[in-house]
Amino acid sequence: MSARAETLPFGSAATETPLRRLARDFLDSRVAAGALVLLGLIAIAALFAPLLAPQNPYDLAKVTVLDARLAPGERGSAGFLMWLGADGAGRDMWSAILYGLRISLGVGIASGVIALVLGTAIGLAAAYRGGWLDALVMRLVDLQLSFPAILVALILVAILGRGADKVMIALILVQWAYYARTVRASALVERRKEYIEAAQCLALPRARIVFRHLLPNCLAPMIVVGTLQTAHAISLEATLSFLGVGLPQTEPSLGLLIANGFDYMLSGRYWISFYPGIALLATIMSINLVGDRLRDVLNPRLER
Amino acid sequence: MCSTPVLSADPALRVEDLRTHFFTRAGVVRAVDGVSFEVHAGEVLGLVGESGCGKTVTGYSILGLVDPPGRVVGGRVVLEGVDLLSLSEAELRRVRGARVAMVFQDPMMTLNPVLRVDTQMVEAVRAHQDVGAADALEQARAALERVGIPAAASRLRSYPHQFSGGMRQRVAIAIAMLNRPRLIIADEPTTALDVTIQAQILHEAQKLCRESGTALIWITHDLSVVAGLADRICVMYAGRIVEAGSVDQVLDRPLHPYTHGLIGSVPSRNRRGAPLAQIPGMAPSLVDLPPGCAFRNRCPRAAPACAAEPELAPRGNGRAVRCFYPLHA
Amino acid sequence: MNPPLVEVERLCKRFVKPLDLAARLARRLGADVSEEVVHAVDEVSLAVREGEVVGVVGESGCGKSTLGRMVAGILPPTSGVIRYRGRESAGLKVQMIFQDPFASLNPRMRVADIVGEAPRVHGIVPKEQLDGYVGELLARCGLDPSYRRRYPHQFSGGQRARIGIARALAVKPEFLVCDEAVAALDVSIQAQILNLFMELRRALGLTYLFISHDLGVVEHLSDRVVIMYLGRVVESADSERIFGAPNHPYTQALLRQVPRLETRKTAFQPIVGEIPSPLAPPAGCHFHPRCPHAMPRCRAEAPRLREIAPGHLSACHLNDG
Repeated sequence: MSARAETLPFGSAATETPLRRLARDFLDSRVAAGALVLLGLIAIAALFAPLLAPQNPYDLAKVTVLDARLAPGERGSAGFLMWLGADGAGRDMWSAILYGLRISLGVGIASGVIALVLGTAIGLAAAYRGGWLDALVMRLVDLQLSFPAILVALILVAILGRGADKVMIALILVQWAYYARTVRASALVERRKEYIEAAQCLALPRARIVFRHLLPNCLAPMIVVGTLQTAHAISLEATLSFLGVGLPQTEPSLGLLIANGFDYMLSGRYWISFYPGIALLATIMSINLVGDRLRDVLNPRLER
Repeated sequence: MCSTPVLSADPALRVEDLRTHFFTRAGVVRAVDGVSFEVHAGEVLGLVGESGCGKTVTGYSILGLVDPPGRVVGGRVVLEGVDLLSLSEAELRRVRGARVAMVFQDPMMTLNPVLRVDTQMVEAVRAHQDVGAADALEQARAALERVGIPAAASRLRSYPHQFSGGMRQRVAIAIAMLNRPRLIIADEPTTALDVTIQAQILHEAQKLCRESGTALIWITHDLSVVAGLADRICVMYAGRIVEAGSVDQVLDRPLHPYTHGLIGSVPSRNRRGAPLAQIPGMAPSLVDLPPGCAFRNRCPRAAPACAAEPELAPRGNGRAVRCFYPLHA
Repeated sequence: MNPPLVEVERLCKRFVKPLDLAARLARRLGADVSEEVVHAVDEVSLAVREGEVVGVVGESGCGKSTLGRMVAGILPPTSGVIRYRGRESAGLKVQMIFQDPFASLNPRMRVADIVGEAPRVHGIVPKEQLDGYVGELLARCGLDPSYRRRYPHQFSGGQRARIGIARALAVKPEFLVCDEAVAALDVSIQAQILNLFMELRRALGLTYLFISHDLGVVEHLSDRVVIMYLGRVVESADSERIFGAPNHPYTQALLRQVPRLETRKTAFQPIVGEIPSPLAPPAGCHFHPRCPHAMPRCRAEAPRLREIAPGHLSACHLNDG
């Protein structure tokens, strides 16, 4: 125990919105700020891939097998420098990574968002209605979360078949449970708080209470789960692709790139797997660091 | 009736010009800014003030419990001739629990919820005394009896959650008393308790200090509690002591306008229905507090001279006040 | 004599902890397992007249907060009736002021929205006038209206208490239930808020049910006082009588033990014993284990609330002569 800062009177700026306060607390950690910058760069790279990549690696007209397995630093037949080398089919690694990031991030974020909406709706309903609905939902969640995510994903993909949409469905079905559980726990706590009682006393319509009062205050843990889950989804999708049951060859994510390059590892052409691996690592790590910092900063203990 | 405590010439604790500052991003918070007082054996000193005045931080500073971003930056805390602030952490650990003990507002700050009470108390005894387990257990049982817990021997085997709030606080007090400390610092120990239970705790505290000659610092915001329990009062505001004296002196004839306002704020039988005397405004933010009297923005007697820093001036008879224009001047 | 504004008749609130699957099975197999029932409020009746301030006093487990929430309409009673001006439903006329100035305001809403939401949703004030209305309310509660775009965390505890009051006043209530509204505040801020309550009462003709454990505050503010113990009313009378001539042994003990500014170096004489758990209240008169005057009858029979003097009710067998 210690003499905490709560005993001190407050002193804050004129109109400090909760968002500004959050940003200020977040950026206090240099590591987190750095991770956020890195994440931003990765996101920009993915978004503007066509502009940043010297070559569209999936335009078959641009790619020639003459460039196959060029080492990093060599020039390709189109004339530009392949500074990360080329893969087995002659595609520029740098371009392939940029496009691969697009897919990885896109699938990860999209499945995360949909799982968030789905999980939140279910979790809120369970918390608010209680009773049998709550019990049913929570048993489902417990059941699902007791299996390793990769196992569930593999089973789902085996059932649903291959294809980008099937992978998305699998990822969504794996993730909704985390959101549901987090939102439910948060909602159960917030529901008892006096400002909700005050809203009931003021006879505000129930929908308004749930969406305007309850939900915004459950967001904090949701943001944390969302960030960390996105990293998880990206990693999961990479694993599925690496194992060959994920996204098809026409939409290669980083996982697939790594898988493709695996055959060449022992013959010394490390760059075909290595650089996509670095890219994946950097993406997941920066998301995790940002999520960790958010969790520390949004900790309700610090809220006054 | 409480007998007059025998005041030895040497105080049990003397605090001299204690300063504890918090170095936060928003600025330096001078939570305790030059606090000095004495407590004698068998005496009860009430340290009174509202939230943010620094009374709790003072208590923590004495025991070296202030965590970053706070730090004790100056002063002396002399307990039986030794300056506690100059001790190393290891030496301080020998002092805590043995020479000085603390009772907190939440008894669960003292009690470990996963350990039985006898385990915790025996541990507390053996940390400071070289005795066997059986002897320590006997001391624990006797301590629980002294604080009025019925069937002490069997209650020893209970867990903290099996006690009610008031009982837990008594156990915390018993633990504080185990090694017969010279001084106990009690930080709002009865604030969260019901009136009838509070009365029981106050009764125990009185009895203990009478019988064992322990000095007691009772930190609270409740003037009424202090009125019945304490011998002397120090009133704190914005990190400083603004008035000190015996209970009768301070409560019957307050000198500082803040003390006067505080007393007037307490609803009392005599003024039913009439508006309470209220101190306008709020306590100032301690972040980068401007110089001068901290109370002047709320003081009905403020004058241009109050822009200078008043000193805690002794007025004879154990009285002191920090004001240029005290009442009953 | 005004007709009562709020009438509460034989109000009960029982909290039942339902048996889980395992316990139900055990019961089916013959084990002696029964549900845990807490009689939080046990047959409480009272009436509040217009313009009155009725104080409800008691310690932990006495049920005063539960009573307050039922009167405010937040908690449905298990049995009994609550009538507002003779009707079953009070609508927005009864509002509640909460204890915790930190938890009672939505941290994600600006103050203007917190205060202005309900009048807007219920159409009490047309949209164009809303901003001015909110500003007026804040000023009336002692806050600077220019702060209304701020968030709760930027205010102190006392200011948040005022925002909560402004929010309640925004729907033009007639009756306020104050549940420990000043308990979490410093003494000097408490004085400001109590003065505000008194001023609002005068200016707006409000009626209060003031729930508190602080006898000093209740004495200062109330016309009538109701003392509760473990879910039951044990005594009820005018302020003067309760504090001047308390009848029930619990009231007497309570008053004796309240620390007062005037009394110095008292030898505190506490009543022995702990407050019983509401899960297992003592049989008969709930207070008998701690009562210095307990008789065998007290263990067997719960005393009824009887009028021992005009307007003075007390539930004690000692009054039966």
